[in-house]
Amino acid sequence: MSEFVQFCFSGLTVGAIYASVALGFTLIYNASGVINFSQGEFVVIGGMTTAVLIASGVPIWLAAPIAIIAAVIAGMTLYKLAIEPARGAPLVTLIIITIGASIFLRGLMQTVFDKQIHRYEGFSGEQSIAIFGAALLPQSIWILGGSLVVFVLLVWFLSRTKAGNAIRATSSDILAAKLAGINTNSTMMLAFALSAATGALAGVLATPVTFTSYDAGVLMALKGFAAMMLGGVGSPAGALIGGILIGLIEAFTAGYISSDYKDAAAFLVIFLVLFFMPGGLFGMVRVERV
Amino acid sequence: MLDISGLKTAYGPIEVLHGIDFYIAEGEIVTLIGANGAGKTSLMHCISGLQPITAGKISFNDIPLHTMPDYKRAGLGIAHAPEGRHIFGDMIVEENLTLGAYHRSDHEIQADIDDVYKMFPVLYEKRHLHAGGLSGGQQQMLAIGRALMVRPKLLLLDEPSMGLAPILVDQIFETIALLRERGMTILLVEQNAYVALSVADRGYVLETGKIVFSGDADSLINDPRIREAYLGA
Repeated sequence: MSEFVQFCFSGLTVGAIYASVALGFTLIYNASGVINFSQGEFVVIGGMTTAVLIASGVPIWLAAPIAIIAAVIAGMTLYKLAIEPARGAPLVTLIIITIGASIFLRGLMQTVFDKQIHRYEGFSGEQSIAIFGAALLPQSIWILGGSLVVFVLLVWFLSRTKAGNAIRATSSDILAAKLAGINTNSTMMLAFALSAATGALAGVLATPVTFTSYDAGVLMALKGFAAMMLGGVGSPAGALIGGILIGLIEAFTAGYISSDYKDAAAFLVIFLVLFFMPGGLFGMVRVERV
Repeated sequence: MLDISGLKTAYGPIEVLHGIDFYIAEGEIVTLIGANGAGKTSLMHCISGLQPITAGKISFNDIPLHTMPDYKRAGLGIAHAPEGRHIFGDMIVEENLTLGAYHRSDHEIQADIDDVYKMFPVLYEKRHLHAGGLSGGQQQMLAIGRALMVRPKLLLLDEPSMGLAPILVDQIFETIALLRERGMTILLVEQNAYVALSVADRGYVLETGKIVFSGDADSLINDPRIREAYLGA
């Protein structure tokens, strides 16, 4: 019993992180149809910047916002320098550009920071709480709470605000969005900025538990991608549920089978989803009438 | 209201409009007639900013349009219901209409939405459904309704009857007649030249990127060359 609860706790914790990554994917996908494979690097920028600042004596409440702003600048720069000039190129080209950007960002972080593994202390200490004989880290509560807040804000933003509607309209039909008077360029830039902030926040919250290093973003992005595929591409609720499920599947695989297969679980899920349920759990099948 | 002179545009190296001179006066319905590929849609896209121009001038109430980004033109009162409808298929009907008023910040948006529902009652019935699930005719009504949400001074209608059953075509043209009574200025592109000329005040005939005829709708309808080429008579 205590073992099972323990696996649930660790699954929920990493699952919430994957959910945040998947929510970042969802935002950019909803604006542009692009899957941004440098999403994992936003997470690492968040974690690394916070870690380095804390190590040099900056308090967490100041380090975290600086890290998020750094990621937002990275996200907007990525859009301005790499995506905007290639507007009108096929989606696959844009997606490959984001893979290139991810490699570039990794190199940049290796140079600006270092190749070490970093972490810092959890926000509410390291003393774990015992529940049903299992240990729950207080940081896990921060992570779960953080991704729930991000989810609620994102759903509210996309459905209730003018800028959110502009993002959905731009992805739905860019030509019609322009005709409606939407500045599609700045709308997409906003999506990249918010997505970077979402990713960086996940990094800030997760680093005390998961640790971080310049290349941690690759696996993070792939897991977030698996979460989004499982949940249904483009759906915020799908991203959240998909993330949590991937986290749980991973934790149970590691616990009951072998931790060697932990990472394989997420990719097995991608295969199964693509074969049997290409729309994912909450995916919409787009119908087009002619 | 709209003045175009010497307009040229190209897709890559291929020029498709070779110096168009064209005007629309306030309150007029003007139609563009021509075969597929003559450049009708390209000309409309130049006016609404979707297609950059390579030479010439477009001005709207003496404001130069050719240097203005696409998304600012709705604010001037130029609305475009594009060919192929381009509705926001994964959003509900009402959201589509609200987005038509994206550039507006006045308090009459809801009243205008109700006005569109009055014009197209079927949209009211389906206001909470995804627009992608509507029939072709309903999508066309939605595209026109969304364009009306701009509160247009100039309405561009590109092939509003394409692919629709005859009864729906009649309904769309009744709507155009209604809009004309309200004093709206309309540029209409239609495959069905006869119907278009019967609602229009004036017409232009476009052939391979050039205007070859222009004149009053009545004189175009009765012109033997046009009757033969476009009216199938």
